[in-house]
Amino acid sequence: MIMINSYSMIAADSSDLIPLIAAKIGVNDFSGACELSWEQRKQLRRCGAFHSAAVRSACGAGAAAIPADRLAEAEIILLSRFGDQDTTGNFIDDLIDYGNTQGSPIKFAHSNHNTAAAYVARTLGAGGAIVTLVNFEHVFVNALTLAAAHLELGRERDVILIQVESLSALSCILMNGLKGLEPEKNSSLSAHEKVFCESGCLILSSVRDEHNICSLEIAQADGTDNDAYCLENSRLPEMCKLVGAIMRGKELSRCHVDGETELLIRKI
Amino acid sequence: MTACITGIGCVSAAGGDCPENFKSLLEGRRGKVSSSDTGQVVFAAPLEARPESSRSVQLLDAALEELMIDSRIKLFPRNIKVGVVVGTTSASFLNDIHFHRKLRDGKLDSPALARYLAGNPAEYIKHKLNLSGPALTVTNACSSGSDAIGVGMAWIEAGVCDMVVAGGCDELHPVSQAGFFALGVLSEGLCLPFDRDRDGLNLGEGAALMLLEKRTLAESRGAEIKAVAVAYAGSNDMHHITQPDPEGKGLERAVKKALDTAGITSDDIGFINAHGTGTLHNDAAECSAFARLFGQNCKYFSVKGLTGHTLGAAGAIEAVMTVMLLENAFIPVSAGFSACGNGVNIAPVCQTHKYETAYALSTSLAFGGCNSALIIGREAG
Repeated sequence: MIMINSYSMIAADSSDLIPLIAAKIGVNDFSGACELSWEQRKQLRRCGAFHSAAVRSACGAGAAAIPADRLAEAEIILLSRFGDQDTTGNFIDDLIDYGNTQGSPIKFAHSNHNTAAAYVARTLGAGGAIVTLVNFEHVFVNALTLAAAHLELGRERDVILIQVESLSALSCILMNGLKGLEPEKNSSLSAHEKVFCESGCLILSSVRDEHNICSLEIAQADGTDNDAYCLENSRLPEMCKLVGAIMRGKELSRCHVDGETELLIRKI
Repeated sequence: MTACITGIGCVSAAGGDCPENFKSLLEGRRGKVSSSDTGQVVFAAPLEARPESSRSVQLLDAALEELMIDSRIKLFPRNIKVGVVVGTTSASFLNDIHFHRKLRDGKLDSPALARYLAGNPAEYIKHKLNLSGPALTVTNACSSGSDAIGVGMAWIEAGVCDMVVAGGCDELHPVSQAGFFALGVLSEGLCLPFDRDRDGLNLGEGAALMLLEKRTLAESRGAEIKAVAVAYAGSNDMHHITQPDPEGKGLERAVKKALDTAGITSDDIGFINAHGTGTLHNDAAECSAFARLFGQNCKYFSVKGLTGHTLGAAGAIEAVMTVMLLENAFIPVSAGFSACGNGVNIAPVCQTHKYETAYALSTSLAFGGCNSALIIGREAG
C-alpha cells in the first residue's frame, strides 16, 4: 500500500482542472493547484509546451507535499503516450529547411523527453532518480505499478509521478493512427502551430505522516463499484479517474482505470 | 534481493553477437566505422538493412534471437509473469524526416506512421513473444539502457514479474547525428575516452538484452546463472540541460546509493565500466566522482572506443559486456586512451588482463543530468 500526498490536473490552456472535476462530481472541499512563482516561470522561458506542462503540474501538486528533507531524494517518473513529438518535429522542420548541419541545439536537447523531468527536478530541487516512459499501451498503470514497486522496496521514499500529453495536430494524427483512423485530408502542419499540453501529477510516498491524504492499492478489477469519473476529451483519462476518486474522499473508493486494473483509494 | 541474469544478447559495431563483442573487448579492436552525412565517424553494427522494419527493430531482433538461444527458452509460458523493459532514444520518436517533409505538404506517409506505431521497442517485444507481463519503454536519453535494467530489477524484486527481458536499443539516425552535431560534441576523428586529447564522441548503434529472473525460478528450471544484477540507483544533477555536474556529484550520489543497496563498500568493486563518451565534460565529471569514491587506484575503462556511443543502448550493451567480463574474469583496455589530462587524473586500464572480482559497476550519464549506477555480481561457484 502506498500513500498519496497530493495531486494536480492542468488543462491545455494552463488553467487548473481540479475545480472543474470537483464541480462535475459534486465535491465542494478541494485544494486548487499552486501557482508558479515568477522565478519558476522565468526558468521555463526556453521551454516548449511539453516541458512547461510537466513543471506546471508538478508545482501545481505542491512540493510542500514532500517534507524538505526528503525532497532532495525524491524520484520523478514522467510518462506519456507519445512524448514530446512536437519539439522533435520542430527540430526536424529546421533540418528540412536549412540542412542537417543547421539544427538548433536547444531544440534538440528539449526534444529528449527526460529533459522535461530534468526541468521539474531543478525547479523543485528533487535530486532522486528520473524515469521517463513513452508507451502507447497501459503506460499509466504500468508507471503507477513501477512507482509502487520503488516505494515498497524502499528504493525511494517519495515519487513525483507526472503525465503529459500533447493536443497538437501532430499528436492528433498519431492518436488517430493508433486507433487505425486516417487523418483528415490536407491536414498540413505549420511549423508555427501553437502547441498545448494537458498534464497531471500525483505525489506518492511510502512514509505515513501528516502529509498523506489517502492510501492507494493497485488490484485486479473485479467489476464491482466504480467511483471513477473522467472529464470529456481528457488526454489523461486514467489520471483523471484516479484524481476524481481521491477527491470524493470516501472511506473506500474504487477506480477502474482499464479493463484489468482497479485502484483502491482509502481515506486516511 | 537481487535478480539473476540467465541469458544475454548483444549486437554493436564491435560484433554481431556476444562472442564477437567479447572478442573485440579482449583485443581492444574498434568496430567498423563509416562517415555520417555531417562528415563525422560513426560506428555501424554488422547487420544488413531490412526495408520493411525500422533499424531499431532489426537491432532488437538480433539481440532477442541471441537472448532466446542463450537462455534456452523457446517460448515464454503464459503462466509465468514475464515483463519487458527497453531503453531507447530514437525508437521513441517519430523522427522520420521524409514523414515530416510530406506532412508539411499535407500528405501522410502512412507506412512511416505504421513503422513508428509498431516500433515502440518494449511493446514490439511483448507482442512478438506474447508476454503476459508489463511492457515499458524508458526514454532517459543516454542512460536509458541501464535505467531499463533498473526497472526490470525492481519488477523482479517487488514480485511484479517472474522474468524480465531488459535492455536497450538505438540506431544510427540522421536526426540524432544532426542534434549532436548542433551541440558541438562530436569528435573530429575517432573518439578518445578519458584521453588528454579527447574532443568529443562518435555515435554508434546497437542493442543488448538480458533475461532477469527470480532465483527460485532460475534454479527450478535449471537455468545457467551467468551473473547477478545486484543493485541499481539513479540520481539527477539538477545542474544543466545537457552537461553533467562538473564534479560528478550526482553520479557520486547514485553510486553511493547503489553500494548501500548492495550492502557492499567501494572496496568490493573490482572494476568500473564507465560511461566514458570522450567528451571533455563527461569524462572529467566521471573521473572526479571515481577519485572520491574509489581512490587513485580505481580500475575503470570505457568501451565506447570500440562501439561508439550507442545512446539508449549504451547502458545495456555495457551491462552485457560487464556480465561477460565477470564470467570470464577479464578486464579490458580502455580503447583510445594514451595520456591523462584535461580533468582526467586517474588513468583507465591500459592493458587487457585476467582479473577476477566479485562485483563490477557500470555507470551511465545522460541529458537532463540523469545518472545511473548498476552493480553486477559474479555468480558464486
